[in-house]
Amino acid sequence: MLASKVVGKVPRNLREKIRKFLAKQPHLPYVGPFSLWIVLFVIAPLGVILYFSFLTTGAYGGEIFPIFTLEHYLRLWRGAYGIILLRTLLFAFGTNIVCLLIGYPMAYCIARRGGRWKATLLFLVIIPSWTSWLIRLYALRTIAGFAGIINSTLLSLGLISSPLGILFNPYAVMFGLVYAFLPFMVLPIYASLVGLDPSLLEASVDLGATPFRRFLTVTLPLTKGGIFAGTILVFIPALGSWLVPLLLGGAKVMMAGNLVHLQYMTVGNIPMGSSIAVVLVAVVLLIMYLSIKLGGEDALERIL
Amino acid sequence: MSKRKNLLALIGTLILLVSLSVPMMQCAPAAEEVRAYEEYVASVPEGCFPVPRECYEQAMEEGELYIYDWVDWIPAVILEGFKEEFGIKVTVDPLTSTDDQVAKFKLNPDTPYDITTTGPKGYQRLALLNVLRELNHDWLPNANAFMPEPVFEIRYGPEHPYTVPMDGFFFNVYGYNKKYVDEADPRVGSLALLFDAEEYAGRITMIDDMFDCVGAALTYLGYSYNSVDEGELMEAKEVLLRQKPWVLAYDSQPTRLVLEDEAWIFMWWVGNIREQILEYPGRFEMVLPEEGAVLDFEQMVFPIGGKNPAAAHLFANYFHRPEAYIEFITHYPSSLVNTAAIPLLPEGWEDFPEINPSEEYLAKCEPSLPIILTGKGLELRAAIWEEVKG
Amino acid sequence: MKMWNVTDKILVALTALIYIILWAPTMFLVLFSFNKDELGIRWEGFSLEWYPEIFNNVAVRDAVERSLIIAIITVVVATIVGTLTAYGLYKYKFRGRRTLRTSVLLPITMPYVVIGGSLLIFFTRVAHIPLGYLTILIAHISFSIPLAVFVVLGRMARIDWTLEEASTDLGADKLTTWRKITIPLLLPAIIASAVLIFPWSFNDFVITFFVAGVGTTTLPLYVFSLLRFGETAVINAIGTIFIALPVIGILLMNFFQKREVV
Repeated sequence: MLASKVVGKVPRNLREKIRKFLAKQPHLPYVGPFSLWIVLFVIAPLGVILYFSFLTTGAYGGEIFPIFTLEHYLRLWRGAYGIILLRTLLFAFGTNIVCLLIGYPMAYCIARRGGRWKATLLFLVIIPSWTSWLIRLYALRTIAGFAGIINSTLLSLGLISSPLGILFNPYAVMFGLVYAFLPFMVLPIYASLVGLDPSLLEASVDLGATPFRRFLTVTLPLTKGGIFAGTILVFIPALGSWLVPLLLGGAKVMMAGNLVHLQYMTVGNIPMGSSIAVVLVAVVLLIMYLSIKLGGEDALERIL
Repeated sequence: MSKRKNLLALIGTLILLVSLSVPMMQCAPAAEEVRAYEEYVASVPEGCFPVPRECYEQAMEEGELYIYDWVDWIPAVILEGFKEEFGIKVTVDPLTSTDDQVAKFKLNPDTPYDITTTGPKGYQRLALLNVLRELNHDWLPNANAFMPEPVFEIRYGPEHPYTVPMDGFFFNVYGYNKKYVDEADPRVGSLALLFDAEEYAGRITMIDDMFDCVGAALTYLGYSYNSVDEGELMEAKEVLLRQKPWVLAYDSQPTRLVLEDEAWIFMWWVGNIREQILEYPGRFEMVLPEEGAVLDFEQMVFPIGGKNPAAAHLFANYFHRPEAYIEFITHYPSSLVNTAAIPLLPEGWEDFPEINPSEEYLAKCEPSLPIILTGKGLELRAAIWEEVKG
Repeated sequence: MKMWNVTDKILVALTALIYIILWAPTMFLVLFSFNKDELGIRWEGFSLEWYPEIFNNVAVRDAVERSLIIAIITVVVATIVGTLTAYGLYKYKFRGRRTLRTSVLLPITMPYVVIGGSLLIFFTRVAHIPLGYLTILIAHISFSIPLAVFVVLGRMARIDWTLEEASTDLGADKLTTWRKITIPLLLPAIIASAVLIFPWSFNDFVITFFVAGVGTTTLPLYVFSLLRFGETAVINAIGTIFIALPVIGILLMNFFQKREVV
């Protein structure tokens, strides 16, 4: 009724035109809002920083001139920046591998041996990620500190003579990254494991395969969708991580995310920050493309 | 089916409740009667001065105040006292770092804060961005009356129309843990304990600020904190790079590290160090290095985007009432800029070196100058910092 | 019950270990929220004082309120738009469908720093939208809609749509079909996405950090500035509540589900 009151205000032939248009594109009212939103608030901003990355800056971090230049990208190849980008890639890749090595067995264990506790076990994996990252990371920092529980336990057990400097180095950052992203690897792998057709496994047993062989040739390839979904959910955010290196690295370990923040905020060099962001986005898109290509449609399905 | 309806009803009620609370949150303190100017004048404590009528009345009209300040820097008791006395709604946003503060104004010069608190460099950087409002000194009678003479030359008054100093501050100071650092060590009392202390590797923390670290290295070498000489800065870089493996963390607030006995030598803010010394007697000691320190001021500045300038002046004037000021200075002890508050200091505080520095020490100190914030000074420092932190 | 061999036992032991490591900081947090010592360094004795402190401390209270409101609005908008989008993607074939489906991934795979940074530049330099609640909401919703899309889309495949077809065949218009059939069918998925989005929005720090304005200090922003000073007891208390809530929620859900079966 309300609808007809509103519609009644629109002139007749316009209404007809709209109706015909909508009939041809019935999907529009559903996907329309989101499409508009993503163009306005995701693609446009990305386009904006792409644009900015090619602009020249004046005096250090000063005004910006609309003159095309590649100087910021060239700067990425020189000096400390290139190293930081490489280190970021390495860390993200390392985090991915470690999460895979730990997460797969975990998912396997829950899926195959979980029984009626499956749902609960899954929730136990997810819940910590519902608490603020900040608080968890800070709790990690306290535990791992010189006076923290780890060190005091080791000390009292006599295993070490002086406290270990566990924090504020690249290993701590790596640990923090794995710690933060592990659930995101476990979930998609679990989902794909659970979706496995058991008859396939039975068939391979009938054909005489050992458990190990079975895993390698049947389970693993079939769960590849989950693996690549996990990769998307781990590798990519790890690339952009800012908080973990800041808090656990003692601000001594810089990753790409920190660099973007440094340029955008501390130095105020928006084009430089944008160029790093653009490179990050390019790497992200590449990883996504590869993962989807290698993981298949299944990978897309598995992201949640 | 009905279970789902119940769930929907529950969600609906929740949303309704919350949306009702939103307007309540934003309601100004309701129909409180605004005091007449004469009443306000009569209620001003003995020895203090009221703001002029136009300031007061405009502030009452404005009714709110937005402050951008370090967490708990202006003590809650002052904010509450101000709120109660004047009925002005005060919202405080926490500052996380000077860099973030400057970044906010760089990105949006009209950021609508009425007051923000800055250190010397923050102030200079904001001034360079031209985002500061000129103060009306007629509206700050308390500050005019109680500000010490020397401060008038450096940071307050008609020649410095943008700031209301809050305290004096020494930079390049550090503290040490008496249990782990031998006081007989000759390096104690000098910046050598920070930069030439290999035995304390992994026990040193530095402030996470480019200007302070580079400046400290320069001072250690005997150069000026404000140097823009490339040779001197390169030497400073070497000092910092040599020190880096010994540094536990670059952390501007290493409270936990200090209290957990993880950091034994810590470059920190004067007020924080004194706070811990008072809280844990005999555990820590503070060093104003013999090479000299940077003496400068922290101040309130009024961004031009702020919509409540009269309320801001009223607050600044309130802040400099001795009873309010003493709450501030005892919170994070540092050099007073309010002579009327000196008699109110706790027992023994006038003897603290940072509160009452000697003439000879002051001669060794220098202020930080804007020259390091732009052009070559900034470029060189930024390059060094990237290399050190990378 | 199958026999467990050695590999199984090792696996289980390893998994248990990982769970412990995963939960250790959280347990630590919960434990120390009852610690008398506010800096959370040594155990000084049991105390409940920090919980009421959450309500007494005006700054904390305001921050919690802000985060709550932002999260709730985000959930409402994101679930609505997300459900609509998922429906459109599932039910209709149209040109650009694949592109849209892949681009749904975009907001959630971009590094937060890039999302935050790009939105910041966009808001301040291009769109001239003042930073504040609006910008935070835009950022949060941008991230949350894909979450909703994925959850709803995921479940749509397992739903029996014949009910919906029947309703249309019987002459009901779209709106009525939606009200009586579609939404009830999708409700579990919608609620699941809400359950996912709410904690994300409430706890988000990085993106909010970039796009927040004056007077919009959310809880994570406040926590960040407080953590640097080391007084974590109140934060621990808040964190504990945040763990307790979903746990209680899950227990309740389990309880209700059992009843439904009966």
